Amino acid sequence: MRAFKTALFLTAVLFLTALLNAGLVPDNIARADIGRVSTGTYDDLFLGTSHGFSDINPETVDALTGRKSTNACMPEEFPIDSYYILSLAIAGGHKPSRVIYELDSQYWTQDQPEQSNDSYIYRSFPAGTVKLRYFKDKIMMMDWRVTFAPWHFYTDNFKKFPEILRARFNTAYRNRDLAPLNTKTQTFHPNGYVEQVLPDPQDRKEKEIPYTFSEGAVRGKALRYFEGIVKLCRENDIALTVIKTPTPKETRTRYAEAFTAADTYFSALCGRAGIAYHNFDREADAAMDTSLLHMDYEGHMDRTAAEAFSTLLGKYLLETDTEKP
Amino acid sequence: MSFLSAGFLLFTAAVVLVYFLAPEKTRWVVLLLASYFFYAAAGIRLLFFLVLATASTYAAALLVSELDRKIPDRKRKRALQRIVITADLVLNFGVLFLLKYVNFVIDNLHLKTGHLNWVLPLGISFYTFQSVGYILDVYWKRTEAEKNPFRFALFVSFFPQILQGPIGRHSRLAAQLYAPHAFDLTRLEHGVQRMLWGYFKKMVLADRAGVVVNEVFTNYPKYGGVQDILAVLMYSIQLYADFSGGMDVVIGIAEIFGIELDENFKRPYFSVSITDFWHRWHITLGTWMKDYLFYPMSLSKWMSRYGKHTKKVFGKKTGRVLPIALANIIVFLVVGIWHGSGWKYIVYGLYNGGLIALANLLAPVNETLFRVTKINPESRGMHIFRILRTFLLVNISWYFDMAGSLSIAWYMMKATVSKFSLSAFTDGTLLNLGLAKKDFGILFLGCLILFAVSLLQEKGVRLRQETDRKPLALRWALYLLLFFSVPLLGMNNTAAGGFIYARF
Repeated sequence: MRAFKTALFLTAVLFLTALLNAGLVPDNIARADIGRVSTGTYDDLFLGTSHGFSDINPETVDALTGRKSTNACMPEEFPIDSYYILSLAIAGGHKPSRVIYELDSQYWTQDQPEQSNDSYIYRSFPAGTVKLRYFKDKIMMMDWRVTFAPWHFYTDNFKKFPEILRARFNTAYRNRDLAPLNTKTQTFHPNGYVEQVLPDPQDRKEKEIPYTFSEGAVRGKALRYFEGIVKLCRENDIALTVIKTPTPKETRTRYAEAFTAADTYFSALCGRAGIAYHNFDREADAAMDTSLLHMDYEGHMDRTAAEAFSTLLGKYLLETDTEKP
Repeated sequence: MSFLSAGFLLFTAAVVLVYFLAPEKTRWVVLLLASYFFYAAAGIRLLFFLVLATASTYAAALLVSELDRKIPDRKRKRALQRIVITADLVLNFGVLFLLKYVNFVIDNLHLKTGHLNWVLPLGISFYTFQSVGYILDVYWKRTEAEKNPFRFALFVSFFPQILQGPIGRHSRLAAQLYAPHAFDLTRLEHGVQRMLWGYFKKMVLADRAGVVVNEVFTNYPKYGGVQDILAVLMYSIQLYADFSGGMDVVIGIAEIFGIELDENFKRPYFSVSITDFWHRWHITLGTWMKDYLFYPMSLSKWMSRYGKHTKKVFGKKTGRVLPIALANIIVFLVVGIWHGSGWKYIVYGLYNGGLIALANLLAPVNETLFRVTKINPESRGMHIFRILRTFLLVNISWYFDMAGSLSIAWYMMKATVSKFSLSAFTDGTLLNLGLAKKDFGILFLGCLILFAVSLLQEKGVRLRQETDRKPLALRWALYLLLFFSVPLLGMNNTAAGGFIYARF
């Protein structure tokens, strides 16, 4: 009887946890991105961070390259996450013929925070061996609240509980439709591109985090999983191109030393690995408006800049179509 | 593997399952394998130091025991045993010194050699002291030398305990580790409850208080007296909730296996003196120091000679106290050094030792004062006054413990007085230290709960046993509240890191 009561209590805990996860954790872009990568086959797959997410419109790129691409760049996507997204695509028989890896040096010199929104990409993965390996390599080492109770990060959503819970039973949710995620400042495109509306530069209240970079600060984990991406591409005959999206001229000038050091490091790294590396900071000033009018200080672009950059990227990818790692 | 990670909980659950499924005779082997796996997960190379401490102490203890059996001449036997023990102590403390303190020595002696960039093995301060305690216990015949090297390896490496203690004694712990405990649902429940209580203290209180502590202690020149005082008070919450919370997790896990570890905390902020504080704070380190350093030193020939000398110079009363005062100062100097390499730790130790020595010396003056003023030292008011006085003195010591260096600690202590301005309460600066009003509210509520629990425990109420007697619905409500309060109220402080004492 005692054991039965304990089991009943544990069931109650599990049920409540599942309910809180369902009612507090809102839908996000990862479900759609991971859904596309694991079910559809693309010529070009964009992997990377929030820069790629707001700066690369696959539609514009495809119009120039004549290929079919999708954007799986997401905020807080560290090299380990990119590695497992690519692994998922390959394991599901949907390997792309080219991967364009967008890197942000800040993701290489910082440890990934252990907050539950940093497991959102993992949570969108379909069950399987790739998810299991992803769990072992990343999620298992995170704070147990992240793994067992991701709702803890969304406790501000208690007022929206019925709304979030109801949304899970909608057709839009089942179809991974991104329209319900749209806000006044973000429009989610079905190809993974997120169009942003930036406030006027004088109205922005973003906290400026100083840019720093040194080779010694590069995290072993970032390097290891980047090398993993290179290896996966080699083994599966996938071309790999590494790009760095443009940063506003003001930021580059202020943190010139860090930007130069990062560029030198990644040029050498990719050179050693025999991978194409292209830093768009070098040519962006001449090709587009790189002022803070169309980008935030880190380089997240609005629609105008993103279109201009996607055109620039499309031209570059067309020129380098035959490159293989 | 951090105690806060999902991996650690899954690992613990797996070990519990395998332990109780394994044949009774091999259960301790499960614990040994799990402990070594746990330690190796942090870096296989670090195992070398653990194995070295284990092997050397195991062999030394056996040798001491053999010498005791085989050599009839007491004098010769003692001399040989001392050689063996000294060799073992030099080796173990030597490794600890080399890994933990050598850079401090290089800096202070201005040696031209560069720093040694060796990684400090996890829990080295804890397992070294536990091993050293064991060999001395064998020598003093407080425990038998363990003949099975694998069993001894488990005593040194038991996985919940190795990172942050409590420092165990062979006579109490070893037999429990090797005994084939049967599964007990009540123990499992109590163990999990204790773990959850530990996580509550760490994630709801310590990590939240730590935000203010990090902000003020890192950017100390920016802040004045009020912020410094708030930061020190927050540190008193952070350190206690963090360390005792860690102990709750450790002791809770051990309890599931049927192993009762020594308690490391006994409501330290209810202490009425610094001596009392050290009887309630990091108890196993305090008792280790008392048994293996204070008593041997106090009973040594040189201390006896010193006692005779002080009695001659200062008279019987003061002369009798002076050797004890000196022994306390030395003991706390070692306690300070144990905490880390740096002058601030040395001053931290001397501050505590000095206060205890002073209390010893001034005890007769105190008694006279009470007699003359007719104040009842046992009155309730006096008791509360003593608690507050001790809390104040302890908080002063936290400046040394938390500040980045001794000079920063001095600077902050001076700033607490010279830059004290009541305007800090009204100009909104207190809400710009990283915590929102809501967080201060949660912290206050959490501290109230902690205070209430501590008060009940101080009065001898055994909370878990009492709860067991309550109706099922109330019990479940309480457990659910405890379980969900950790994710609900826990701080999302990415800078918090793991348990503070797991870095020792």
